[in-house]
Amino acid sequence: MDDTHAQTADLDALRLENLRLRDALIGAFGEIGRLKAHESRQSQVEFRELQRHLDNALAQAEDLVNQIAALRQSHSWRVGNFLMRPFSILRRAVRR
Amino acid sequence: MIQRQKIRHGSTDQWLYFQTEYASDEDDTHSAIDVLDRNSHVWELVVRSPIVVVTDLSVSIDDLIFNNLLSGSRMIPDPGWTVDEVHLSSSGAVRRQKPEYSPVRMLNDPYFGGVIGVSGELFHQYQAELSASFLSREGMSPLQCLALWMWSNDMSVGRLNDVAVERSEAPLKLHLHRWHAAISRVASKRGIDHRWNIRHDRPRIELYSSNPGAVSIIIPTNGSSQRVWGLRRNLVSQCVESIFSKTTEQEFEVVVVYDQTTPKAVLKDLVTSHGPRVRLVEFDRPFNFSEKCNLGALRSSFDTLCFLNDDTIIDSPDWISSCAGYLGLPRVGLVGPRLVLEDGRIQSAGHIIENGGVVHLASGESSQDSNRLSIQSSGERVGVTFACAFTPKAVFWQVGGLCEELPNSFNDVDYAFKVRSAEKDAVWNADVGVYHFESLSRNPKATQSEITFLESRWKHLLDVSDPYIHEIS
Repeated sequence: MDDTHAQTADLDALRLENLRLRDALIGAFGEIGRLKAHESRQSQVEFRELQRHLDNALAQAEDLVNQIAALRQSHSWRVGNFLMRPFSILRRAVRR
Repeated sequence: MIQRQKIRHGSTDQWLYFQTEYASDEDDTHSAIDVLDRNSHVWELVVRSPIVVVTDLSVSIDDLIFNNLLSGSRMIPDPGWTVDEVHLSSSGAVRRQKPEYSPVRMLNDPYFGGVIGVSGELFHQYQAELSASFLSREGMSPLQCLALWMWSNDMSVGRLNDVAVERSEAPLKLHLHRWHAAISRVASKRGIDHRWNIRHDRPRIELYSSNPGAVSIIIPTNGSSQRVWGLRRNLVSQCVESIFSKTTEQEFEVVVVYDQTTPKAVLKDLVTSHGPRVRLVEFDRPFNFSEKCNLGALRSSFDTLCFLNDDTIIDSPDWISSCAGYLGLPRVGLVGPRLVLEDGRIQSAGHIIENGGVVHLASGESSQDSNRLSIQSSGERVGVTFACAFTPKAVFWQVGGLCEELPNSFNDVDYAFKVRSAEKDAVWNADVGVYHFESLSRNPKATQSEITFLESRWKHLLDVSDPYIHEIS
């Protein structure tokens, strides 16, 4: 009788251990899912940060281009350019 | 060339969109063809089409949205899909988030709104079956027919998260009686036991099982007595008594997993009053609700398990056949009934995600509130409480039972997430009630370690809005 009881207890212990292992396995998959989601969110944050930097850089570059265009359209630039033209021609001639 | 077509469906005010490749000289000939005329050569285009979108006139789909739908549909595994709708009105635009596809909820709530998309090939298959089947005689719209056809074939409908369509008018009114009639016909054809019922002046279809099979009811207990309805009662005794006095089904056993604190007289009375269908299992270790449930499951005889707290009383005679009816659906792995408090208010209408945690839906609310469809008819949930929960033994084994790292709280929340990760759904059954004198037998407060443990596994699923319950304002 005691042997049977002991065997049942052993069997129960083994089957409970089986359940624990299955639980741990599926739980580990859950943790992987959480880490992936975290990583994905983290990547998205980093991506957005990078995108913001790029947008800023692009805006600055665009601003510079506009400034240059405005400068080239300005009266003083054109006068200066006109006055400097003989020197430019002379410089090109000397280089040849 | 790639061309998007918008084709009016004959007699209704619904539209079918499809995209396909064909020669430009055919453009004019196809622009007004009724797509449901299967003899038409437009069918060749439909079959080759990557998507067919069925929608109504008040939904606008421009090229950008259409291309987003097209690319979004390639990202999800489901054969069908739908999208959120942005409702335009004088007061502004309101985006209405659609819940995840819920086949059980669809019995009584055709919530899929005004847009469903499928591949051209699937649409062709649907049309071929439609013309030869009972569905065509239901007098429903193409959208309803398509949704029902997918439901009847166990095809899931995904949701494209990053796309929304604009809607200028309220969705078409769905005729619930026609829907019910069609559902009933499909269910009969598939051999699903169902019945009509009227609760709170609302007609609804309920599932049940005419042959639920034998069930092992597992009751963990410490043998305590508490005051219920003004009288001091032994909890496990009154629980088991209610099972035997109320339950109409005959094939069940009750497995009582008792602590050493349980009075011997109580145990003796359980066996002498109810005979060999009550089995006693001693638990001689420190308290661990999960371990007690697991031990009870090990010692159980039948393929369907029902976990029942000792502070419950069965109130519906057909509670087993009703829950077994939902458990018999292909994707369902967990079913819990409507739990009510001592005074008749709802204790739990299933679990929902709220503010990064899981709470009971409608806890403390009147069960008479007929305005909330979510508590009047059965539907999918992220989980149900193990105060009363049915699950197949095979699923219980597959997911490793209840987690023993959660000895007191959240073991049912964790179990439901495990069931979902095994691609099974949890369903809350509104049709039957079980009294639950919540946590009379133990302290319901979760420990910090249990909260931390749960979050270590499932935080990514808790940090989102509930997938099934969106109370639309």
